[in-house]
Amino acid sequence: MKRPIDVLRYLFLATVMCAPSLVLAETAPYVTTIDKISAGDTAWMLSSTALVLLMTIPGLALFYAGMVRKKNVLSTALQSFAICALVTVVWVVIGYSLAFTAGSTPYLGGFSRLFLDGMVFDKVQGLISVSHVAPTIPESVLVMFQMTFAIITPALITGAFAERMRFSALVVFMVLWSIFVYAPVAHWVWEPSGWLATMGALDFAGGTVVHINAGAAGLVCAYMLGKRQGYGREPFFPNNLAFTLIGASLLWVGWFGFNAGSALSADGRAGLAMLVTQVAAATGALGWMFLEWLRRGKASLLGACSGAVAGLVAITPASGFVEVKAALIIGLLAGITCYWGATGLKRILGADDSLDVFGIHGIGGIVGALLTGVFAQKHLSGVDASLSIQAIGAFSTLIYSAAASWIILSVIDWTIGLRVEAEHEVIGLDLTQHGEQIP
Amino acid sequence: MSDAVINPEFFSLASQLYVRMRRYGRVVDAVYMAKNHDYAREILQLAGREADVEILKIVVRFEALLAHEYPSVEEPTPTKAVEPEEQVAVEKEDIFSMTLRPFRKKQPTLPEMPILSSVVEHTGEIEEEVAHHYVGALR
Repeated sequence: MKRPIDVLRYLFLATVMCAPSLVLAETAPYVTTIDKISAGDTAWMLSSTALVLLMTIPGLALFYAGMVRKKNVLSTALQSFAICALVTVVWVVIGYSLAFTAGSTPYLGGFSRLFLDGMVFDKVQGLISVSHVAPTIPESVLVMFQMTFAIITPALITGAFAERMRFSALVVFMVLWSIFVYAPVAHWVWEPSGWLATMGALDFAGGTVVHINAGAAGLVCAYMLGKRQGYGREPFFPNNLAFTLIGASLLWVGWFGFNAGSALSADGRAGLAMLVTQVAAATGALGWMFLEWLRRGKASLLGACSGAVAGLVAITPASGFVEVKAALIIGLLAGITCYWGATGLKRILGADDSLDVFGIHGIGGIVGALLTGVFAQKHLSGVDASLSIQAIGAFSTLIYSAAASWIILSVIDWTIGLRVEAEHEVIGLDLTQHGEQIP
Repeated sequence: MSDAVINPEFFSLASQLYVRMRRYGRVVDAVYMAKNHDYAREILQLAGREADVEILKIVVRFEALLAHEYPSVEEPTPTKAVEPEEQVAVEKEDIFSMTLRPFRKKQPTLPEMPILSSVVEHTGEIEEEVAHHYVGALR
């Protein structure tokens, strides 16, 4: 177990060791011969990429669209779809380079892969570039796989400000957020030279990078945009919970690509990650469902879906490092804790987090990150887990994401304006922002 | 404007009525039913003549909702408008007479009415509870 003094020592070392000349080949993408590529790993990663992309389109799009009022269904779904397009471009232009190449500091990558320059596939000469983090698959596959994570993370945030954000402001926000928040945090955790990775923080598939990150940003968005008109006075009926169920199902299945794919190879770790993912989703759903049954007398569809997602969120950072017994507990605790996050904590915080992004993804991510420190097995992770380091990783991401999101939103509010006009909000974003509606 | 008029509960019942009436060859405009209570009342009058118990339940619930939302409204009786519709209805009955239309003249039996009333009341309580749940929270 690491002591606080060790933590400080790692922080100091990570900060001073920033000279480019000290960067070794293993910490940067490099060119190798095609025979080094594993067909099995590549095939699995290609499949995982498709699964994770399905999580956003149409998984998250349907999940969220089913929960909003009918007048905002199309706008909510479009937000996920548009973010997919936006972040794709951002990622290939600059995002991947900032996240997955070594930079001059451990806090941000470099520009060696701007526009993916330097990424090689030469069939004639038998050369291909691979990333140092995944040497058995083509770098293009890693770029694509990580792109899907970069896409879903900002898409998650849309649930927090649903039904009231101006579409133009959303576009600008997501581009800036992807560059200045997502890419740096991904670099900290997943790039070997990143300061959290160097410290030994464990995040197998993105509990910190994706869920805590999105949750914190979502909460800040909810505060800054303010409450919806009529919030707390009139009922906001979800228009189609069948959509939500379909979306949640796509998220559940897609999460196999999210977690098992993060093994970056088709091996035993991927198999274990898939298994614990399923277990945690199940216990998460059951935990939330039974708690809701006790408190409200009924088990709801939305509760079951939310609990499953909570379990999936919590197992995300731990999926490659824990065994089945731990997954049972992690999922169950996540289901219970996130139920509180979406109900009691939501009332305490007082923000109109429309679709409970912080309550589920933020709280679930924190629970998962901390429990990873408790349950991670050294024979799986390769390192000793530390609750304190996990806490540092979780809360530093929370604070950075919240602060940076606040700055970006402030700039956008000052220039374009964040929120739609009051009358447009009443009419609905489908008609006012997009000129479309479901009759 | 259009969204403010469409009451989700009205639309839900109108949709259910649409599905049921289709089985008897009748097509109603569910969206318009939810928007226009005069049209809704006309359709409910037609629907009330059906022998289908499920349709009658929906009719009772819809009428209860209409009475609650529009308590001072009198039943519109544009007789000139009704007669052509009845004639059209008669013609449609001829057109669709080949479909299964059992017990065309049968009226609902009186003992069923108290049960339907309690169903309406209980349903209303549950719907109020659900609506209250969605005030200030989704979960």
